[in-house]
Amino acid sequence: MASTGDVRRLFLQSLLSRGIVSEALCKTLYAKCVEAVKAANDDLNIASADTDEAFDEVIKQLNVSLNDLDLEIKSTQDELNGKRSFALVNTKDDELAQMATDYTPAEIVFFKAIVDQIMLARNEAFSLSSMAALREVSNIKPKSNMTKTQAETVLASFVAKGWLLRSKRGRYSLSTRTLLELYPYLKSTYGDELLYCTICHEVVTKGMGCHRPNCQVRLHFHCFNLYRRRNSACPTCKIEWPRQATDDPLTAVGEAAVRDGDDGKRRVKARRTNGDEDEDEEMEADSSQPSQPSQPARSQRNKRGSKKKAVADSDEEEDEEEEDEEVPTQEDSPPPRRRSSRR
Amino acid sequence: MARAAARSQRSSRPSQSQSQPRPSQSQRRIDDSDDEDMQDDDDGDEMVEGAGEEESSSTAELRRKANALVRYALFCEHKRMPLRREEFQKKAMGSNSRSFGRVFEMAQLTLKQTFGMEMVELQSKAALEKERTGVDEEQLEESRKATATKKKATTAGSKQYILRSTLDSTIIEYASQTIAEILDQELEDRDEEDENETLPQCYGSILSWSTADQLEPVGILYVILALILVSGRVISDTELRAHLKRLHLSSNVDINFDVKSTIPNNTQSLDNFLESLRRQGYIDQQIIGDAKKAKGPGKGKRVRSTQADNDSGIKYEWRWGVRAQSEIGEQGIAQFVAEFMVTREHEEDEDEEEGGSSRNRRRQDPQKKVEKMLDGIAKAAGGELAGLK
Ligand SMILES: [Zn+2]
Ligand SMILES: [Zn+2]
Repeated sequence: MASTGDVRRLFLQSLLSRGIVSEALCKTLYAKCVEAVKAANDDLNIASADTDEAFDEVIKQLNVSLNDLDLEIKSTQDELNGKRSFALVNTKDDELAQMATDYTPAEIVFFKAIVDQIMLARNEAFSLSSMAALREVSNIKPKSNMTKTQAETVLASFVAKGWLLRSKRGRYSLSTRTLLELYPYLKSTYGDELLYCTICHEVVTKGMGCHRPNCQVRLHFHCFNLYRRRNSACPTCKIEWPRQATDDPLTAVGEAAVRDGDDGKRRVKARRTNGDEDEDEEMEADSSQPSQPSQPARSQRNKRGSKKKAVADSDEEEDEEEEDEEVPTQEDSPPPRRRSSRR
Repeated sequence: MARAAARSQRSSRPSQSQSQPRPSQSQRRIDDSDDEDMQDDDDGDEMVEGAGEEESSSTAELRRKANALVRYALFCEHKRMPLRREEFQKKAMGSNSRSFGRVFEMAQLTLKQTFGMEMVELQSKAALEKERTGVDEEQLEESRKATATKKKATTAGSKQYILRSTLDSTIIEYASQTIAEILDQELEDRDEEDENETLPQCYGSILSWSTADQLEPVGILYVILALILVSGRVISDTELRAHLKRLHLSSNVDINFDVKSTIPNNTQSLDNFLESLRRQGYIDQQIIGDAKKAKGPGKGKRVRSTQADNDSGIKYEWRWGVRAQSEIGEQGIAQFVAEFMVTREHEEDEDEEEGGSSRNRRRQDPQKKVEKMLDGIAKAAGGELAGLK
């Protein structure tokens, strides 16, 4: 016999069968779960959740029942359109969860390498050119026998399954699904790189930043618009802001922040060996020169004036064997010179 | 990556889409009321459990492990791999593997209470074999009943489990139907996803199976299962390939997967496809007993990897695998075939009418047609169609 509790059971099954769903769809689904259970047992008196408060309460209660399982129904706003989505996600980054993904271990290593380069991208660009993404195949350790062609297929799969976004410019960035479902992993691995929106407190990988050099304010586009309607100055440093998030002199978070030459270099975050060290060491991965003084990962703020169009991918990739000899870009220095191919 | 159990609803495909078996058959219902008398799917190892353990701390420990098992079950289901008891024990039970029975019970209860799902043990190949060759139908029926209600015969245990819904069949049926409001919302959301031409189809049902990270061209699997079924539950390799060839599927034709897969070029040869279905346990291949090894029909040697009949004179045959028996069921496939045929006929009728045909043929009630078709399929299979095992 159907019971009231079947509504939440069916709702969870529905979420499990779908992955990420829009807020509107999520609410429709819940309403239909109520109807499904009523169809099975007419006598049940089930409250619908047609107000925002009631729906929030439903989610809250479900999360109580999921807590011990390290699962949670989480929601986040799409960084590009501000639309809220829900997903039932794993809140623990453990071994069992790892092995249960539908990618092979080599593909997961590749995915992690891509995420790594996205997270460590210079100037808060949080994106990676497609050629640089393919190049990651050869940097995978232990060596993988994945070919570049196969890597392309795998990348397309990451995009098709919603783990990565691919922009018009062909740059890969983190998707809403990844930000939702892989947050525990991102947080534990890139705690220092993650930027949070001053308004909604969720992770920002696409948005704007305050242009005052040491001001930490970063906002999603939708959060900026919301805030800017009523305020004209930065919430923290009070400097005046222009009307649009993309206007000068505001800085960019995301692919608009890519500068000439940024894609030519890989960044490697030195994993901390002792916990006390809190400065990231950064190295040029393939550097054949004596290493340059290291540069803190995020201290470098991109000035609007030096924002340049992204380097065309093809420029970078003529020669895959090419060693990277760039000196890390210093703040305010002109874009690095183009390397010359050694062939 | 935590999209758990996307496939857990395989018992509940939308009945609207003609390409899926109907849910009602494949759904075994368990009432909330029997939460207390959990099945004992374990063969009793928990009896030997150490008596001297500290009660409270060990209970908390068991609870933690049970929760880990629930998570593992959901993840396995998402990956559409059966949960292997041995693997879980190795990963999570540590030295204390003897208490698995209790952990399993606790996990089963959580699955049922929180998710309306349960772990169901797949039949072992040995048990299936016995069933198929055994002549004693009565004994068979009895063991089938026993399987459904309480303890599984020790021989039947494969120590592999899949998840199945325990919700009322009316709910499942409702949840598998297309609902206009859901479909509208799905389409609206999809429209906003600009330029992404690779989005999965949507069907507007509460339980979606199309947006799951599904890779296999599931339609071809159903066709293969149907072919085996209507050939009397076993089909020779030659015959199967002849049928598939008529459907333009021959060994040198690539089967298309969608871009979500990581298979090179998103295509796979028929042989590789059959092999992966075999590995997942949907279909099973054996050598037809030749003169030297023959010990009777159906007792051919199992093969390690998919082979086509070849010049060496070795012949192969195909049967349903354990996963197909537990996950899809003969009735499910029969329903799929019947509905597909009837709907198509129906559509053809309509086309004719649109085409100006003045024939005023009285149309048979589609439901009756489906039933008739089901009878026919059962006859072709050589006996009453089995539900889920
Ligand atoms: Zn925000
Ligand atoms: Zn500021």
